[in-house]
Amino acid sequence: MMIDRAENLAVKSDSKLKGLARFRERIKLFLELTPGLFWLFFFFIIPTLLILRYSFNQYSGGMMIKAFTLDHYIRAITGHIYLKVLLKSLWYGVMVTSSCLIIGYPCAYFLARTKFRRKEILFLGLIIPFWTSIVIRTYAWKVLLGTNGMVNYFLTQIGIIEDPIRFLYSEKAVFIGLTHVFLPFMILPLYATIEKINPFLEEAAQDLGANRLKSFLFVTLPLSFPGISTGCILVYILTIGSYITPDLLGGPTEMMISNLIQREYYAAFNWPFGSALGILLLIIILVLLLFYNKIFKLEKIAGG
Amino acid sequence: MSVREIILKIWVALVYIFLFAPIVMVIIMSFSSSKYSTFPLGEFTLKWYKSAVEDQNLFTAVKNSIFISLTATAGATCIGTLAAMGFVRNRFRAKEILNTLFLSPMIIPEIIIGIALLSFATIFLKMQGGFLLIVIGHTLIGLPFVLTVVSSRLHGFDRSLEEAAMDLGANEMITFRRITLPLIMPGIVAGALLAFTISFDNFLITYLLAGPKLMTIPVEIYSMVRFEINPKIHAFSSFIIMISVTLIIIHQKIVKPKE
Repeated sequence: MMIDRAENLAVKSDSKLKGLARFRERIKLFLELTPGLFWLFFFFIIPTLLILRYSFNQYSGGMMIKAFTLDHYIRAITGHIYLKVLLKSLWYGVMVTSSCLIIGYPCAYFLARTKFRRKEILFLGLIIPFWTSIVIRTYAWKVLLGTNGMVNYFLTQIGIIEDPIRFLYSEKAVFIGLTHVFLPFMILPLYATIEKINPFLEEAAQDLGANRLKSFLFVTLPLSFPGISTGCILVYILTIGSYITPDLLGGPTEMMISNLIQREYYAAFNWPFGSALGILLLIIILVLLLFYNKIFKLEKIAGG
Repeated sequence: MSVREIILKIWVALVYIFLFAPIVMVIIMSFSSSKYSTFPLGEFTLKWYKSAVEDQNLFTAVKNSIFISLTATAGATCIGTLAAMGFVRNRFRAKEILNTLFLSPMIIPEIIIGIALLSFATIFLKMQGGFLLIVIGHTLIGLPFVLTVVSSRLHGFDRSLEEAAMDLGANEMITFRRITLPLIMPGIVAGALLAFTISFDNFLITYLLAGPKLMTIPVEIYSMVRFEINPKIHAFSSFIIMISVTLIIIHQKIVKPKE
């Protein structure tokens, strides 16, 4: 009887101790996450909700008036100039993403398969442009693509063209600049996926009678789909949000959403309209991300 | 070597030329005496470096950039490391959602972060820009990178080392300082370097939140190249590129020690 009781007590105090330890763990977790949550709540969530609220306000006579109207959204979608800028940004996204994929895939494939001993040097070669100031790289393209720049000089010297091409302040320059800036964002995820694909799979397909093209198309390419979709979504989202490249290389005709928002906020002082454009951009990106998540869930189901 | 392999190699070489062309061009032009950065090149000169060094504005921009980046790095590193410990070592209900929230500043366009913070500061902090606001923004965008890098270091962490220290009588604080911290230090330093580079190179958020007078390196370069490009900016940029490359190499050395 006595022993039973003592055992009971021991068990009870043991579970109490466990509860206490758990409680302490929770407190620790709370303390660890609080600074980050504080920062994100006050400097990210609240500000974003604030511009969401602003986007419904009215704007008249250079002032923002509290209201609840959808005017700015309607204006953004029906206003000819604004819709053009929106569509142009989305179109740049498509073009830049596809060119990054086409240029980047062979490169990622090579990096993943090469037996070159000092691979880390090749890798460093990808990361250095990735982390070098975008402003510097973009203005450098402005110099490179100028009428008397390096690109035109070489093209005329080789004899491909007779008169220099006018790249600057046109779609061409923005397209080249954006592809340059975002190419590493495509190559790195592609590389990470292709590296994990066993090269023997391709060989096995060839042993079974597929030619090189077929073994690539039906084995390697489908297996690298996760890398392709990560790279594409990343490049697409980054492209439609870009500011400095269209600003320096494109000029007013090649304006993208970010440039328009900046102009509304800082030159026209129309904060409600600028906010509405910002919210539209945010919605586009969230929809894309949701879509991307869906694909991946389906992928998991398909793969068992 | 097959034809296919040769074509692949040429392709890769062209990609690297494409990636490095602007960087190499800036460095070459910084030594060329041609005033309009045109081709063919002028004679070799160091005069652009001399005029860059003498430029008071550039000096101020460097000072501001370093101050802002160091402060934002300190903030992002502390907050990110703590959060990484919380996320990696616990299971809780809202974990996935919160983790996504912490990583989201990485994918939200800078223009949105910029105007949102500006609107917020105008109303609640009665500020229209300045150091503090830029540091707040840079901390926000550096945070996801620190969190990712430190988390991956923590995933490979053997917790029995901590238990051993506790069994031997160390309390939680001592265990953290003497065991946990030294072991995850490479991750923290790598994350801090990333946060520093991101802040140091950031243009748009800085530009939107700077107010009228404050200049950092990217904003100063931007304002100098918008219309006409003075070659001294090539000299200055070459110097900035050297700093970035040095930081990257250090970062790579820390992330991948001899394998």
